[in-house]
Amino acid sequence: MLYVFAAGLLLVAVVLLILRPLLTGTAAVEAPVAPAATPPEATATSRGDDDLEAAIAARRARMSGREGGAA
Amino acid sequence: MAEFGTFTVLLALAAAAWAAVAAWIGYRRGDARFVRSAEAGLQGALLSLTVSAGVLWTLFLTRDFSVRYVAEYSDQHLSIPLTISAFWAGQNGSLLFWAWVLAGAAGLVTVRERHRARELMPIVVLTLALVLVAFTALVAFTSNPFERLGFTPADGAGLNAMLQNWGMIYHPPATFLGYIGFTVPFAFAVAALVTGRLDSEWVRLVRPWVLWSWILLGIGIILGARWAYTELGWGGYWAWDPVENVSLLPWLTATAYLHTAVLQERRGKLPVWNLSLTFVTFAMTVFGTFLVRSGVASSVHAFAESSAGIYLLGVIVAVIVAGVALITWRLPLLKDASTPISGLSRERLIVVTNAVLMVFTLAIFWGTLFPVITSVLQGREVTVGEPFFDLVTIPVTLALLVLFGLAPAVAWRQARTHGLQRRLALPAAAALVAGLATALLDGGRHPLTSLTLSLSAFALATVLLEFHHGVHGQGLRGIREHLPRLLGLFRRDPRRYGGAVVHLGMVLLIIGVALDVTYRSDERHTLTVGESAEVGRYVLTFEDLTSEITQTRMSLAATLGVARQSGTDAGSLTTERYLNVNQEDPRTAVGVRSLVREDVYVILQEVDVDSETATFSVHLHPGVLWLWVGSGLLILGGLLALLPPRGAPAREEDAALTSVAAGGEDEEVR
Repeated sequence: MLYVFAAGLLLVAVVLLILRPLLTGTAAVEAPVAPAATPPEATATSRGDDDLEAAIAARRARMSGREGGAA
Repeated sequence: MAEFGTFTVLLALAAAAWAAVAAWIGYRRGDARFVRSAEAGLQGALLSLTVSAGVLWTLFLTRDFSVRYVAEYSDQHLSIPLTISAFWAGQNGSLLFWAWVLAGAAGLVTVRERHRARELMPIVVLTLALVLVAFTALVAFTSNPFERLGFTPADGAGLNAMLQNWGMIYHPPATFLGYIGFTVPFAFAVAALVTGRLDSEWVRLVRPWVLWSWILLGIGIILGARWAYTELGWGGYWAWDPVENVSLLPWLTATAYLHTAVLQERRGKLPVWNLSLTFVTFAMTVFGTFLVRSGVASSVHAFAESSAGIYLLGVIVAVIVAGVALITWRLPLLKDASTPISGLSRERLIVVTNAVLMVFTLAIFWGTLFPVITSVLQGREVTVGEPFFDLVTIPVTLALLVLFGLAPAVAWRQARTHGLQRRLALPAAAALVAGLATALLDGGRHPLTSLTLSLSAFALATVLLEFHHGVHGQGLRGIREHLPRLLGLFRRDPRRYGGAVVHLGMVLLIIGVALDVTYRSDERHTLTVGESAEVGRYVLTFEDLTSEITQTRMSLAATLGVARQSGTDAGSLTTERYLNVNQEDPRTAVGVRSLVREDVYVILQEVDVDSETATFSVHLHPGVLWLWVGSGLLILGGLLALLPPRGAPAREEDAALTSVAAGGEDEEVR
């Protein structure tokens, strides 16, 4: 009996998980992805000025092609 | 409870199937709600399969032998850690584990990449969902680990004696994690082809996934090698066993990809090749799964023959057909960058490295598949053994050593001959000295080994010089300044210096193997407790013989003291023969004392308890420690290459930008 209850609970959880975006979301197509030139490290600017500077420097390094090494 | 387990697998199958359908609808209609629902479907499948895994572990730990899989792979006496590892000891459980980890990877993709790869996500989710459907259906319909026996035996058959080892706990999961991780780059490659977004964006997005999978598969292979080295019956650290070979294949193709992906990111080169490599790598992981589970390969690793094999063959065919069809369809968009690869440049070396790796991959693939083909077509057993693989491995290894040595010295775009001569002078001298020294030391009896060690010295010297130049670039002095500067290199350019550590590890690994296969020796000694024997430069003393009988295990363990001829103590080792309950044949655990120059490797062959006399097979394996050190560096280098690059000081950046503006970008010239 316990397993029937657990099975029912799991079924409800998965169905709700799947249905939620369909019932609450908007159909609008989302904005396209950012251009490829934006490296992930450049998005982590909220951690402070140091990180911001580092991110900018890393981006410049990437722009200059210095980032790829001996792979 | 087993029925609940079956239900959770079926629910996961339904959730994954919904994810595939919703992702397709979302893509066709451009409706974000369906894409989100598809992502939730994958997360639902992960939730269900997590419960499935929990149920199977509970069945094992509560010793529910009414479940066939539990009865076949465990018994009352199996220790808790090994009972936990029995999950993946057989086909059905390992396929459930596979599906569960795949769902985990898919769930992680939906969370991690959702915002970064918005346009690719519908097809990424669709592809992951289809693969998950394939594996979950395999679990549900051909290999259900929750199937009941119809009766409850008093005890289970127990875990195979060869699998009762600590290696069982970490080697299979690490290998599976590596295999499964390669599904994600495959999904991104399919998405890039279907959506037509064929710039280098997908290459950038999949890089951490490829690198993590490469690292995990590497860890799995190394841990397996270590296990096989210390337990008799597996054939030593590498035996060219079909299942060992198929684990190496995707690792090699992924290695090739990690190199050419740089060319696409930096120069827009080889887009078709990179897409093909992601397809091939994924197909190789399924091929490995097929070979283990179809019963066609004769291997100590293989599971019994089952219908899962033909099913997996279908998946491989589907992947190859889809890959060829998609690439052919998108060929007009897959234009290689117009800038040619010049005569001697880093780009050229990467292409040559790829060619060497591909030759190696094809040779291993053929050597592994040939016995299968002859068995199927002609009905006769053919074995492709070490001589064939050695024939291929030796020239490939030599070529790779040359490439490891040249790579750091050759600049991107176009190397200047004069600078190259200057940079290679010291490594060439190191190669000459190492080659001559080894030839003199062994009287020129092993020219191939001398050549290997000579080229290893060449490669080591260029890799170490690369670090030396990096550290000394700003005229620093003293170790207190060097160490932070050395660590700083990995933060400034993790790819380059992480890659250099990988190359360093490979060179040490090659040196270890070359020394071992050339100079290993073995002899037999029969000793009574207290007696000693001279073996090479060591004296082994049979110190103690102990016997132990517990409810689950009988064992005889011999302890030997190891001392150098000079009299200095070099530790001790213990080798044992044991018999676990439910097993017929005794097994032997090897005693190993790892020293810098060589491993003292002792096998307990025969024992006479009454007279306290034992016969030992004593092997000296020179250089094996370097094999493990090199393997460790290989993994460490991969992890370092994953670090996010931190910005270098502005002054250097400006210099680099100026260099690019001037058409240079020759950062390796110092």
